[in-house]
Amino acid sequence: MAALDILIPHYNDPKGLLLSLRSIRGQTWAGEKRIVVVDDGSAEDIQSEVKAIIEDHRSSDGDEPALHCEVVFNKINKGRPFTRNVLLDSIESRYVSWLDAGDEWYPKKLAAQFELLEVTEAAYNCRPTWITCNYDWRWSGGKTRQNHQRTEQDQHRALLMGSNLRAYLWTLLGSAESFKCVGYFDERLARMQDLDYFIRFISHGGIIRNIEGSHTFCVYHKSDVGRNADEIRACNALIYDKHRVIFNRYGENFKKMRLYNMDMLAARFAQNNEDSRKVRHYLWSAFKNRPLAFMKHVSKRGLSV
Amino acid sequence: MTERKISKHIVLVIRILNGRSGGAERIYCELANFLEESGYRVTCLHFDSQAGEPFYHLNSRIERINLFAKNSKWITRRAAVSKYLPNRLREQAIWDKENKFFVRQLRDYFALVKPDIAISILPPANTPCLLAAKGTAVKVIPCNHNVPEQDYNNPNRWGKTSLDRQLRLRSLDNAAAIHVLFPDFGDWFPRHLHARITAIPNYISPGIQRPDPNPLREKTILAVGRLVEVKNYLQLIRSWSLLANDFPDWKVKIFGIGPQLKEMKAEIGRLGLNGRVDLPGHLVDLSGEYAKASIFCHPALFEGFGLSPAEALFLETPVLIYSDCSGVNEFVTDGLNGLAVERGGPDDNLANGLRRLITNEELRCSLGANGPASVSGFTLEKYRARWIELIERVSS
Repeated sequence: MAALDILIPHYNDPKGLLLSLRSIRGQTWAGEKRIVVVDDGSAEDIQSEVKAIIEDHRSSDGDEPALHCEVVFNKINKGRPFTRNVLLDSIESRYVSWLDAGDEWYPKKLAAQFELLEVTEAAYNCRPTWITCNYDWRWSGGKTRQNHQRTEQDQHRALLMGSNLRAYLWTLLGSAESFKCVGYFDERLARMQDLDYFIRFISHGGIIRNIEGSHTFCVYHKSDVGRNADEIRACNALIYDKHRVIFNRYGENFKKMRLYNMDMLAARFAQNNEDSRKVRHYLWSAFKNRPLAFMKHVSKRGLSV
Repeated sequence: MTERKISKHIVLVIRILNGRSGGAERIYCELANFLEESGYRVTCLHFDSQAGEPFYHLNSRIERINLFAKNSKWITRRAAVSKYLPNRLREQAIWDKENKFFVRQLRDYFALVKPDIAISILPPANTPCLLAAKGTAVKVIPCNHNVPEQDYNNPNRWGKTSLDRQLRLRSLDNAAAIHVLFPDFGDWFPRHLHARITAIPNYISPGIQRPDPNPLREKTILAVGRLVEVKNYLQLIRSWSLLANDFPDWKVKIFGIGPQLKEMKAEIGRLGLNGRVDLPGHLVDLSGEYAKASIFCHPALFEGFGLSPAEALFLETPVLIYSDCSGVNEFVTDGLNGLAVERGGPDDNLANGLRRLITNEELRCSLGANGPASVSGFTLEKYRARWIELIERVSS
């Protein structure tokens, strides 16, 4: 049995998958890895490409070792949370890490995370533990921005705020049980199922730790293009309802500010997809929730989100 | 891939959980663990002002959410000036300060998450839970872990206002089922609630094992419980003081910790019983102590379920109680597995009972031999089966 399962959902992005697999090959951590790719009903020609990429990585290439890769094909496109649940069911190894096709790990990510996980598991005994890491955001055609995960704080609150502890599954390493104990991803959440999953992890007594220092260990190739603003807002609304009692704990101002941020996020997606009607709709909704915060935003950045 | 099974969602509600080591908290955590193991989705909701962890283990597959947050300024200020308000408004202000946010949180959870069943433990959780579920589809089972008269009528237990006592009883109208520890306890409730009463007694922990081989009985009178007024251990010390000189090779051992420790030590000193009454504190596994003792004395005023006397009987130790002690007189029968003496009267009946047992080894042996059969119904398996049956009945 391998020591680590690396779980990758994939949909119509063979170049991205190739990028992700190369970054796995480049890891300095020498333990045995098992890679599971679940293709979520990609087009037939793309499925053939995926098969070829997997086959390539099953054999060694010069100095680069062969990877133990498995691939599963969903018959039809069922969405990211369903695909992640198929991946959850596929877990066999003691440890689990996630990577979305299209994102990359820097070479020392797994080595640094395993080092911390060993110490943390010993210190926190049986409590489920995830190790996250700092990461880069790389906007397509834009700049790279470093993001630091701050874990020494109220983690529920920090996740709901989403500014210095963000719920990105591909930053994580943890034991198989630490993921299984949370249960399945919520299949109603086409987007943002990571956030729901992280909040539930904390509610299951889980703790998140970050590697010390300011180094980043992975990169998220970020793009809003093709993502539906209404869908994002609806998923945020569902998360707000599901976890309302946790939002309530932090008071009315906190809740209003979160609702404002949800509208501003939806407005950003609409803007990046050039849907000016929806931009106006969500900006107006944000203004109604927190007029002062909105005016402050406008004074700094105008109506650009 | 196989179709994922959707489990029934059960919410367990308790007021304070973090760091509490009481019997109700133990039952709460064990109930949560076994329901999760039985395939239910389990969420534990509590309302702790202090951050922390539960004293008893909770499986990591169980979700645990602390609903606590500070009250609004209006509620806090109103409670602060409540002593200047007319009685009814004063009680409402106090009740709101203690409960209003808890009720609101539960109502939000029930309305938005829609669990199938909520099981609440102890009156400070029962009332808010029942009020919050009104108008939602959530079925609530409030659990009563003590004799109902004490939980619902005693002004010194739980919320101290008459409004709280009224709501405690009135809110039971919203219950889908009402849990009590013994069938007799159900008779106390208003007649229209009788059909909803279900008796599920507690159980003797599977950790209580008969030592192998059985040790010889020592000349020890054993008592086990929290050192609090309701356990009435001062009476045991006083009764023993009447006998101690007559039986110099016997001694009393009282295991437990609690707020009455200092007072008990002072009484032992005052009555010259140093060395004749031991207070060894808390011990996790008491099996050996039960099996070594010759007599188990439990002079409590009342009980919900007397776990320590039940454990003593399981290990063949005869039990001495007051006959009016609820929750113990359900399974200790005078002359069968112990002695049940009258409380009050001109004589010290507890001392008389002790003398009778000390001086008659044959009686002790015959009463002790009947012990295990008298508590054979209190097993973990039966407890689990009864809860599953109740949950399935209520949710169907």
